[in-house]
Amino acid sequence: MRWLGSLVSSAVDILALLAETLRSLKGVGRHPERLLAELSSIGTGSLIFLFATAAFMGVIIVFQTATQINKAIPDLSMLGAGFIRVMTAEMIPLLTGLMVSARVGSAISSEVASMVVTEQMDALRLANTDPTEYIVAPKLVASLVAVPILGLVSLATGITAGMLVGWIVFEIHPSTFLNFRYTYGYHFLSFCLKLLSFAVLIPLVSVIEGFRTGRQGAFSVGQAATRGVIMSSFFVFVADLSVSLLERGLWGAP
Amino acid sequence: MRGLLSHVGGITWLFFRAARYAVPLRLESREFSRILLHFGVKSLPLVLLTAVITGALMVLQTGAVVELMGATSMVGWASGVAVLREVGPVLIGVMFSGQVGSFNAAELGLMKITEQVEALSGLGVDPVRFLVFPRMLAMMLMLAVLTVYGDLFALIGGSIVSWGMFDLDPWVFWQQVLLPHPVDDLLEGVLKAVFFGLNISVVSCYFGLQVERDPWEVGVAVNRSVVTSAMGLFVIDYLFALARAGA
Repeated sequence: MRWLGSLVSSAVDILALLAETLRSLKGVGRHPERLLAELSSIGTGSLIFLFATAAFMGVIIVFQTATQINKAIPDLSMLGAGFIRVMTAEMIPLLTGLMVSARVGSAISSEVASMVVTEQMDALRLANTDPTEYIVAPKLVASLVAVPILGLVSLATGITAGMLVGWIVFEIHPSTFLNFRYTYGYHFLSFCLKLLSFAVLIPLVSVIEGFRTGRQGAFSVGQAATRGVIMSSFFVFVADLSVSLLERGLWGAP
Repeated sequence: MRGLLSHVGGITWLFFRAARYAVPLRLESREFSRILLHFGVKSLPLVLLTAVITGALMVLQTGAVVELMGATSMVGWASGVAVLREVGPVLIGVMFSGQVGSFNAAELGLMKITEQVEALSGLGVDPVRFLVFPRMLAMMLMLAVLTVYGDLFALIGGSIVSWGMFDLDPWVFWQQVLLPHPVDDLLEGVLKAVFFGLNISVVSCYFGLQVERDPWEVGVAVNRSVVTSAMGLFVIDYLFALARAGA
């Protein structure tokens, strides 16, 4: 049950760090070079990775569902409508969250951990710079900008890839496939809500895991990176389920 | 691009060097069982918790689409197939790579820094035989077992949500899951998981052993290991889908 306790204490830490970061948010403008560096590492750095994984996911899902449907009722005309809805409401946000956790979460945790170990955090405080303002706030702002864009790019990529497979392999014309009948406005709303919550959670959780290193020496950096990936992907799952349940609870009908 | 190709080549080479010890089987059984215990059992709680969430999500989304198409009686079947064949193995694999793969990369990186790997070579023991091959087998076995447990927990999560959200009796849900030959779907998922485990183990061992001297490289190794294994996972999954469409 120790891990359950640590999950709860992580959740409390996230709220505390979020409050502290929001307070130092106006200091981001003082270090524009930090913000640009974070934008490039969180956003541009993840682009190709997400592009590739989203394309694979679109292809795989269309392949699998089309072969399943063909077995039951050989009518693929509504495949596109269902596919676009599931991609928008669930698959692409979850994929984006998990892949950003994998790529960015471990990087942030090991970066912060190595700064703690080499006492750069103390150096920052001595130089009268608030570490939250200098390290955490730019990461939060950059990820709030980058993660939704990454999600939109993945959505476009995944749907295009699925459409191409439907067209080439299963001979579904794109005009039939691109059917938004089952995708409602609130699906897109929950898409945005999920991405925004991931954008807040991933950097904060990874920073917290980085700070947890203590001063046990350089060897704890690898462990911090590991914890960063696990905890941020876990919180991605929790946030995703919460938004999905909220969506279903608020609108009830499918 | 050149770096990527050289990593892919290195990973493949490491796989062949380790696979050499499979026929005839030369397994360091103590290391093998240590890894099973140490990595597998430790990752169980979080994997199962995420599996429950995954099952709940699948029923929420696929269930809604199936219901829209006017076939509520197929909610259990649709989410059962999706979980057993596709989503279960992939998401459990991603969590496994985040937890066990990255831990493994960090451990091997530290062994490299503290010159334990060189010490092994100095003793005349091939590090690939002593370190990589047991990990490879252990992770393939572990992920297969975890996938069976994870599928079970995902379907439990799914039955709870279909009960709460679609008023579908859990008994009916399980009947819908179990009646149409789920053994094929389960076996396909487990076979996938074995390949995912192979991918995660070789990739994480490779990046762990890439660490040279500097402790900071361990963080980089963990990052690269997670990213590359996720990529490999999707490629393998894609190959499975291709094979299925061809068959």
